[in-house]
Amino acid sequence: MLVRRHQAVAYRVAMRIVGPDDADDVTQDAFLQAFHRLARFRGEGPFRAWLLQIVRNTALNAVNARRSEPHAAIAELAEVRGGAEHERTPVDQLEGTERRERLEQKVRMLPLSHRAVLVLRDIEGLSYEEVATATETPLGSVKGRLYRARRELIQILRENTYDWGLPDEA
Amino acid sequence: MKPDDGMARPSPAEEQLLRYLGALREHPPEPDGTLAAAVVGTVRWQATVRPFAQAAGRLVGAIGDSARLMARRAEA
Repeated sequence: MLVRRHQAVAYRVAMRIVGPDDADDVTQDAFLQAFHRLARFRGEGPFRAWLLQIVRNTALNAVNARRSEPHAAIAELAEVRGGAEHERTPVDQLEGTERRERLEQKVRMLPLSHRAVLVLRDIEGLSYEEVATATETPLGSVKGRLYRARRELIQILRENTYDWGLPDEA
Repeated sequence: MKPDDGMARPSPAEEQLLRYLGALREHPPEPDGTLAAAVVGTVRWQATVRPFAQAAGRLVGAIGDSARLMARRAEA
């Protein structure tokens, strides 16, 4: 069944765009929308990319609807800004799970259009063509957004409380 | 790495970042085990209700059309 086959990737993408609190709802809504639009899937590309396009759009709508409640984002931003003024702790001192959770939070600080591209390409490992389909973006723009997303995430980590050990650019 | 060249070699900082992101890929969050059942249950429920809702919508639309037509005739 389609839901069982694709629920893991749909949930992962939703979770990394909207965060763990809304990921279940977004994933479920996306599958329901996909079911109702199934007749419109023309089979021109992989089903996974088509489904992830719906997941991404549902996730973006959820984030935009939640914009009136920016508490979490403000807390994260405060940590980033405060961290730059103090001595930074090596990230190696963090346990693996906590390190990953912190990185997931940082990924969610990226602008939405960049976040989706980075999640789909660098975390989920989709091809550029699949990312272009899922984000409804031309291939060249996907690569440009990915480049900017990586630069922004590096900048966010460099300003973080923890020293992520990212080498300086030559 | 240039923005338009996805095949170009990443900078050392990007390579380190990609290693961190790779760790996220190796430890994926798992969906709630009830997700598939919830989706299937909702789809079945909606599939049952949908024909009745569509028929009701068509009926309301037809009544509205008839009412407008009768009102126009009454005005004429």
